[in-house]
Amino acid sequence: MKKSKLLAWLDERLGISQLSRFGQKKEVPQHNHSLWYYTGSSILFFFIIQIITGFMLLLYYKPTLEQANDSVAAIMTEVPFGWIIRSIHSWSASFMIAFVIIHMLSIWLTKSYRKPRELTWMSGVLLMGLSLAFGFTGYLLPWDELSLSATKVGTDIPRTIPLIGEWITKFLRGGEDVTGDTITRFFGMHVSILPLAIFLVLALHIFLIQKHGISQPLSYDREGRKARTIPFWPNFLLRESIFWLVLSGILLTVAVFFPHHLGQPADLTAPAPEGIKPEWYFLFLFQTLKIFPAHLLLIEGETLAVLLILLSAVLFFFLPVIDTDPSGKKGKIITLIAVFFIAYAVGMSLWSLL
Amino acid sequence: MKTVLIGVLILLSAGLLITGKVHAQQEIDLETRNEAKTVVHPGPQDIVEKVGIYVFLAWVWISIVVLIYFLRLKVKEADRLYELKYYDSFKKESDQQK
Repeated sequence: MKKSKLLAWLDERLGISQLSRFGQKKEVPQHNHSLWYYTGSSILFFFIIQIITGFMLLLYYKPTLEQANDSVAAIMTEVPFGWIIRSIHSWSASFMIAFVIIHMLSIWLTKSYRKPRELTWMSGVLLMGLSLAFGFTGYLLPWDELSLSATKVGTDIPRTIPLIGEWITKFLRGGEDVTGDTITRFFGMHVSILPLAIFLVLALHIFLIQKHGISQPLSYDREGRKARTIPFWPNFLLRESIFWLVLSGILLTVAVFFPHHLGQPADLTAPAPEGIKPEWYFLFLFQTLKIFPAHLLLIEGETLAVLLILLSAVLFFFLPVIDTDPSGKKGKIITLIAVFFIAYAVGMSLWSLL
Repeated sequence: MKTVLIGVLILLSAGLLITGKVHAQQEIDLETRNEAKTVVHPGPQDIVEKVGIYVFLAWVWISIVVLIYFLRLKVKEADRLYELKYYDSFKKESDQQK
């Protein structure tokens, strides 16, 4: 097949054919659980949507105490199709975090973090933390009653950590309380520090995936078999693009029919409204903190809960190092813990919503 | 004199009535403005935007269905070429380059 002149010109300068050959050489296992592979690229897909819509919102958003809420209201009422851009931004954030959770749980249950992919898992946990930080910092930016109260509660939690807790809270808030300084600080984190950090960790994550390839199911390893593979390009990427197309349609439909509301402007002097709740992905942690008694084993209940959550996060990060025998008894116990964790998170989130 | 006084009283009463009505109207306007400021209803701003959005959404879904149809054909073709070991020639070529 003859290439067009333009393609040949570009190929000579960019090496597109080399990239295509690299994609054909790279192989992806094809089996009954291949569907889980699409969750990783879906996160990237939603992240790209976040960047595009984020840039659009950035053109009109004003990160000050006086103008934050008004500028979001203006985006939603005066800017043509501004409401839908904001809705897509909010919904794609939720979808992205949902896919991050599904992706992590699928890797946990299929033990894809086993040797030599330990660092791939660890960089993935860091990416999950960064995604949650994006959600937390972005939640305050509309500066309405709910976002103010949720941020007050959220930034107050680290205070219970011994020694450094007070400093963390002050650092996050830019002072003693949540004020205009907090908006500026959260905005800075949301649009510059976190994107930079996520790009660096994402580059490492993608490099590690390229280096070690995509893992095959544990059962194949146990039986000493090799799963059937297909080339990454074009076979796998074409399949993935079908998945992205469906996701983009669902995202747009949800954004049109269930647009995100903007609450009443935040009032620093007003008491917190009743029934404040964080975003859905923080609900189980919120409920965990709520059910802890005031004092337990001579320690404050909240301090103990926060320390336990931090310990769980550390154990989650080092999971591949702990799960040294994925096919053995230890591996089975860790799978049971994963199932218990899913049931716990879903149960606690539902309890918090009731 | 009596007529003048009655006239002034009527004018005053009418003035007060009108002022009261204007005040009430201003309060209603202020409340409406405050409400408009606090409760922002997201969604299409007018019927033209509403129709535009729904038509766009319909077109998006039609395009997705058509694209999926063509992508599935491409996937089948790519799988067929892979089974025929068509891509192996590229592998050999790149190995030789190394």
